Amino acid sequence: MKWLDRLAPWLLAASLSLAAVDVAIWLAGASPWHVAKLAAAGAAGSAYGIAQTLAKATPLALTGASVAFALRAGLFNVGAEGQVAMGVLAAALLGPKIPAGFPWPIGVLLVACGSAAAGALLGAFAGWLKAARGAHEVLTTLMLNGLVAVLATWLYGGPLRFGAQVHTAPVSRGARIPSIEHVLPSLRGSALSYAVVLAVVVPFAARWYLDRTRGGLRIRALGASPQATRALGHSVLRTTVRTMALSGALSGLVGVHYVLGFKGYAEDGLGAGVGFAGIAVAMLGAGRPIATIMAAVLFGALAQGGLAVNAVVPSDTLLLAQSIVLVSVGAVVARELRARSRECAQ
Amino acid sequence: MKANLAAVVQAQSDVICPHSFDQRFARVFVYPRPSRMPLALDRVHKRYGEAKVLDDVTLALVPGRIRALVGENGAGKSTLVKVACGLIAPDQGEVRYDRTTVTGWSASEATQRGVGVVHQHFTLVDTLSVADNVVLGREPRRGPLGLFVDRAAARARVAKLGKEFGLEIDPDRAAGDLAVGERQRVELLRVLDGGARCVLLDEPTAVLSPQEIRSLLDVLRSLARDGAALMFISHKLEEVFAIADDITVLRRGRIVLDAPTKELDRDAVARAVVGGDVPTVSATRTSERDETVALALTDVVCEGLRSVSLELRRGEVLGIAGVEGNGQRALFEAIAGTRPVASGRIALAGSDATRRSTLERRRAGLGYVPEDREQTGLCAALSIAENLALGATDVAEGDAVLSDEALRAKALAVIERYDVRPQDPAALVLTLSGGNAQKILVARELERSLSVLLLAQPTRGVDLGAAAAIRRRVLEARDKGLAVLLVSSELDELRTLSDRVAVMFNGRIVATMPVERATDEALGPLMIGAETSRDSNTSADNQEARS
Repeated sequence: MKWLDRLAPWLLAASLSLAAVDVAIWLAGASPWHVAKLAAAGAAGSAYGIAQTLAKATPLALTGASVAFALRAGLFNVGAEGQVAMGVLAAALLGPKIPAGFPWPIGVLLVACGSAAAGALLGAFAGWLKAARGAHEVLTTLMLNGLVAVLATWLYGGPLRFGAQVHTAPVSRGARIPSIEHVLPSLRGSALSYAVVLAVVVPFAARWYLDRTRGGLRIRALGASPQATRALGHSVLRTTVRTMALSGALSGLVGVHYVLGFKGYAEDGLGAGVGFAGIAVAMLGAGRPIATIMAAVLFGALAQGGLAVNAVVPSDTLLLAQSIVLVSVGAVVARELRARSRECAQ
Repeated sequence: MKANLAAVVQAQSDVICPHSFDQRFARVFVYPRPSRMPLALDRVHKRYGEAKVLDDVTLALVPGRIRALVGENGAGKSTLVKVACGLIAPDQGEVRYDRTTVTGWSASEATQRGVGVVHQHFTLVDTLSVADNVVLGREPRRGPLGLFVDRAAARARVAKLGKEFGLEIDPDRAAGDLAVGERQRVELLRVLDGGARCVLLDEPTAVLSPQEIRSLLDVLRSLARDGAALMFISHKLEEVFAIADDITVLRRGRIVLDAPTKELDRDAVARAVVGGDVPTVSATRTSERDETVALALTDVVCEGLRSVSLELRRGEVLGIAGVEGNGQRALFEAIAGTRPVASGRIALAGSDATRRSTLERRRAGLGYVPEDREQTGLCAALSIAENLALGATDVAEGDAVLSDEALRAKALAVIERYDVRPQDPAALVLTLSGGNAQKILVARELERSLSVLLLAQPTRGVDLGAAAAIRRRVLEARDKGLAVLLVSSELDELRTLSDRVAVMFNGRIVATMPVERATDEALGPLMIGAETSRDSNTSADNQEARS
């Protein structure tokens, strides 16, 4: 019955949020049952719907893993938004430069390294500001988000504009991730690509690094006690920079999904919002890979379902659901965790 | 412990008569009449999972008497206090207060009805003043509808209370600026301000210097004279015998000894605590002393230190006596490399280490056991195995990828050698009792190849058995040539372990003497700065100690 004990708070949180969303729908003047059916059909009722849900979940799993990673060192990276934008920008810059004749796995790997490095650069800068200059990471990462957003708008509208188009030059064939529609023709037009593999692999890889390597142990030690880290002679500066760089790299990888997998180019606003949504995913996932992936899929489904119900109620109604899920899980699960840790402390 | 509550109370009320009739008569008009038996536990059981933390505990606190609760780390003392003050509900049994059954009452109810607790960890708000901290939650009001806090009244109240109980402290200072001993006084003032008639103190003396302990004990005595019922937890039998009227020994959740102090002697209590003979530590050397200098400081100046020079030889323990806050921490941090040194020279094994990083010093064989175990010493949120792995300084010692089996094996070896409980390498350090956590910290350092060990408060808050085990390990390492710089607020411990004793006062070493001459009488005046530096003697002492 242990698993039931563990599941109970989550079920409670789910039913609480369901009830709250139903009230919201009812207030908006629609039938909750009808809207629920529509949303479910839109997000999971067809192969296309499922593919869209997964495509929307892909960046969320990456940013969720990214935020959760930094949290293990006690760092709150709210800059996933800007790091994603850096990853998108790097992919848009590097993608067209890959020779068309390149085998795509190699081309994609090269661009992915660039995207990760771009995200890492931004993260590392915030880490350095924190450890060397004492600037709090929440402030700096938040500010850098705005900086990168303005930079991207200018680049996409000016220097990087592709002829008369409002987007950047198309990515070369040597760096395009094949769409899954070649395997399943019914997915035609879906945003889903093989980049979804990243969403599965990255949360596990991040957890493995933290739990099983010496570098990961030092990151967790910093999270547990900066004073102990200092007394042990480990560099707080270096560990902070490394943590934020790696966290930023995970967010940067989102560029691979959007530019190489989905659009084939970058444009203003591509990937906006997934960085902040990643914070919510990280909270729900609490550092566990499977929970992170599940939370990403849940939020992906809510976003996709929101589109499906747009004709009846505003799609924001389901966005509201995201917030309510977060609050109720926060209330119920946090209480459970506290109780458990109190018992441990005895 | 089969004796029932009635018998216990009967036995104890026979001996209550700590103050004269006149005093008592006066109290009737000033205070609510003290009840004969304010707080009692009757056959209380509490278990967490499989572990019985409290097993059939029956105990009564009586007005005017001080009860000491003694036992090893993890014996259930803190749980007992928490049950008594309503923080934890017992699984079985009753809690009674003032002749009513209050089992399962809440902590705030307990506070309101006059049960006050001074917890082991301080609960003050650092940014508030002493007065604000004391009256928090019961602020005197003024203005329309009592909208404003009457600061002046609060200050006056705190000052008056302080005078009454000998706990004088400036009510305007920020709690964050206070030294540990002063913080403790504020905690106690807060409890008294709440009108507590029954005060429970969880290891109040663990972090205090000898002087502070003495003044705290005076305060407790005067509280008892005033008719309060007191219970305090302590590992130090000396103070238990100095102050307690009754002693209760808890072992693995059961009361194994419960009697008035005058019927007991120290040996009996110590034996009851450890459940057998008390392990003794003898400082007898098994190896010759060495003349090689392992650590040398020349005129080191930094924040908190005003020019310190010392020499530590291989296989030698140099104990540092002093009231806390006289530069001991600064000294250790300067040597460890976590506090920048303004001038002077620190040499490890003959080579200059003044500008070397902490990691480089650790690689050169420096070990560091800081006094602040929870924050600076260990990573409480990580497991035993992970904490031990963090001590590694050599990159070759562990690859980038950690081997789970290797970590487990290393942790199991330490757990066995140091008798750590629970015997689980994956147990988080924050779930360990203070003594077991300290063993992990000492082991993490001693299990490396060290030449110099900085050892601060090695047995603070650690029970008798564990303390003996830690001291024995340190002496073993000394016999193998380890040089130890020891700071301890327990002079007995300093004398047991040290070859020489230095006294620190106000950021300087004011005297150094061979351990044979480090009597209380010799150290006392030096520790409080009553006797100034005896430089001429000091160098002579050094010579003597070395020869």
